[in-house]
Amino acid sequence: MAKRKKESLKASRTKLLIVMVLFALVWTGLLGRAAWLQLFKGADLSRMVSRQHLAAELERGERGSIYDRNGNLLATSVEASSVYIRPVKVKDVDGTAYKLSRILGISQAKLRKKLSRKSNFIWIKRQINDRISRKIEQAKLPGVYLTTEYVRLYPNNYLAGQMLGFSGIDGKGLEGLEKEFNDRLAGRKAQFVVQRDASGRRLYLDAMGREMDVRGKDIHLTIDSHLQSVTENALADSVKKYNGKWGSAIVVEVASGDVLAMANYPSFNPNIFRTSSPNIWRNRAALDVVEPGSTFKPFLMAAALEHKVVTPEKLFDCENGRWKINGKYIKDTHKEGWLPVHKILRYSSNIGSAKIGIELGVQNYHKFISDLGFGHKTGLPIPGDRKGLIRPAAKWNEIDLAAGSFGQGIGVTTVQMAKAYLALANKGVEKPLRLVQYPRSEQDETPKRIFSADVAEKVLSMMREVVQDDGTGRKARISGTTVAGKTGTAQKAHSKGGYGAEYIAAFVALVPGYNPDYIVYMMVDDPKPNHYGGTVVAPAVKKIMTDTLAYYGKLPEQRKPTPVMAAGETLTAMPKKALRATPMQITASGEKVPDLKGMPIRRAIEILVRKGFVPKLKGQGMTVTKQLPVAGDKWPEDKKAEMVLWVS
Amino acid sequence: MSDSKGIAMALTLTMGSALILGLVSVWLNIERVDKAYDLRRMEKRLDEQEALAAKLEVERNNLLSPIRLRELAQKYGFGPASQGQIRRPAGKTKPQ
Repeated sequence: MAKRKKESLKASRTKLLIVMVLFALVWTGLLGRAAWLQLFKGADLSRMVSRQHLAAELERGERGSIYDRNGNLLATSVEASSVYIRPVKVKDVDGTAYKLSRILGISQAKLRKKLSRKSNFIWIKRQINDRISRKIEQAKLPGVYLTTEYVRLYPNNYLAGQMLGFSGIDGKGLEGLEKEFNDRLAGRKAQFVVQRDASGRRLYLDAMGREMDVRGKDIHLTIDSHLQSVTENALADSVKKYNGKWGSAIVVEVASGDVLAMANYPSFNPNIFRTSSPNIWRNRAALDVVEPGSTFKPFLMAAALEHKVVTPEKLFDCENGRWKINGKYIKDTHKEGWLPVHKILRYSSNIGSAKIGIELGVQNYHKFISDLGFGHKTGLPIPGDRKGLIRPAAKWNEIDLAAGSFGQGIGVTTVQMAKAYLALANKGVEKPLRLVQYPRSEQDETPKRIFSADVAEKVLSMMREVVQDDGTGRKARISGTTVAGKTGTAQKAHSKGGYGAEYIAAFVALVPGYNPDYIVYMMVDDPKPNHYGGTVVAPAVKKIMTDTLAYYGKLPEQRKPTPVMAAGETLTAMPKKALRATPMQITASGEKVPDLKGMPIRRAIEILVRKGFVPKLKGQGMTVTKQLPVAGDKWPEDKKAEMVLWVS
Repeated sequence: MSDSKGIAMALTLTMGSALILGLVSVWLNIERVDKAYDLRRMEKRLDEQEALAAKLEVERNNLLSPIRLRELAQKYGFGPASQGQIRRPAGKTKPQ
């Protein structure tokens, strides 16, 4: 029994030993394999694993937006889909080409050519709209993919096109402010590694470097969209009416130096910039150098008064409109004899100005206009901002000085003129123009006095005469307020030397004429048949001024002519015009009855009366609550038709 | 005997704790991945909403652009205020 028990124990021990050895072998094998994988293959396997469940991701930020001074959007970027193909994965070339052609409007032959290439990536169409993108998705074409890009949009279309410029399909600023501020506006790139699951979906288990802000920075302009539109329209009307080649205009707020509007015509739509000529993309207000003509004369007057060469009452002989100097003739449009300095400006005498310039001398005049900023860049952030053309004083002869005195023989830009007039409006102290509110520019803010406040007031007074008296700028008068202005009709230099028969008409206005709030400068190139600044441009400038004043609620009441009775004169002898108030212009041109609900009763009645209808009023109160005919109906042809306004 | 019992108890507790911690760790990892999926879904939705908002903002600005407002104003017989049409509330000399 004991022997059997002993044998059984021995057999059990043997079995245990075998099991232990087996376990030991298995564990040794496993540990050996683990050691092999960890110590020898570890690095390679780790890399393979990383490739499988980690993916590099590149994120591109959207381009910053551009806003006007009131926060209205001028340029922004939105997501848009782009279509690309991987030809190697396309199964049915003809079928794919047919379907893509129908959706994208590209010829089948062109698509077939692309689909047959041995390439891994080919763009088909970039930045398509959402509707087309949805159709592509629904078509589920093998080898055809969509990716997201940012497309630049300008919601106001043509508005400030030259100033804003545009960016290319890859989001790089190519013109205007888009180019100048490209570094700030451009979205940045961020590359980071993300985990992905078995089906390839990305998993963001932590920030993984994505905390970086990749969106481009915004910029805020000093431009006011409404005034920009008003200025562009007035400029376009003027250029079109007088068959001009092009024109530019600028509106500046004196208190801040802010450029409220900067317009160019012809204009272009930056959303579809490729459809217009590169020549139109130019921001001519800052890039085109022209001879300013008589709009330059106020600076001559300021220089001569500052150097005490003249007083406003000093007389000069204007030679009856024709004066020979060094074998060259200088002519005036109006034949005048002896004129005091203020009337030389009022009637815009070239001969009188030339004589003042000669008395002032080259050095004094040259330094003065140089201090005003002519011959230097304005400092506005406009690519290619020009410094104009003012030759060194040493190269000026007497003819150059005489011509330069009335704005010929020198080259300036519209923006430079605005800057110089800003110094005049600012009582002789230089003030930088501002086009961008934020980010703030690092311009030297130290005010530099160029001429005395007394001289500035004297020049302004002369400019008031140009508009308010019998000067050349009478068409810019605004009843109820005073306007200071100056006309300009510059002869254009001929490409072969000398001057041809082409002109540049210009007008500058400062409103109100005392302590101006706004400066408006406009010029039109080669207007025909009339080429005088006082006729071609002054009415357009007046339109801009009145709309600007109305916009800011500063447009004064119309001053009614006061009939003045002379001694012994009877009432019947009074001129009829003096007794008649200027009739209000009726401009209600809509075809349908407007929605008058919620309007003050006075305004609603004004609208109806303008259309020739006298409404019946029902109820008591000051606000219209209901109307008949209802809004949107056609105006009745019968002027006696019933119009009812319910008020409360 | 009591010493070996204590050691066995400690070992059991340690192993139990390790097991629980291991399970918690697994559970947390599953939760983390689950949350990552949710996060990804929400981020995508946010991106879509932001893209849509940007497009609507462009559309709004387009509808309110001065040129369009002018066209509408002309259609309905409105225009810029001319002289004599501006009324200032009492006490306000320079309305903005």
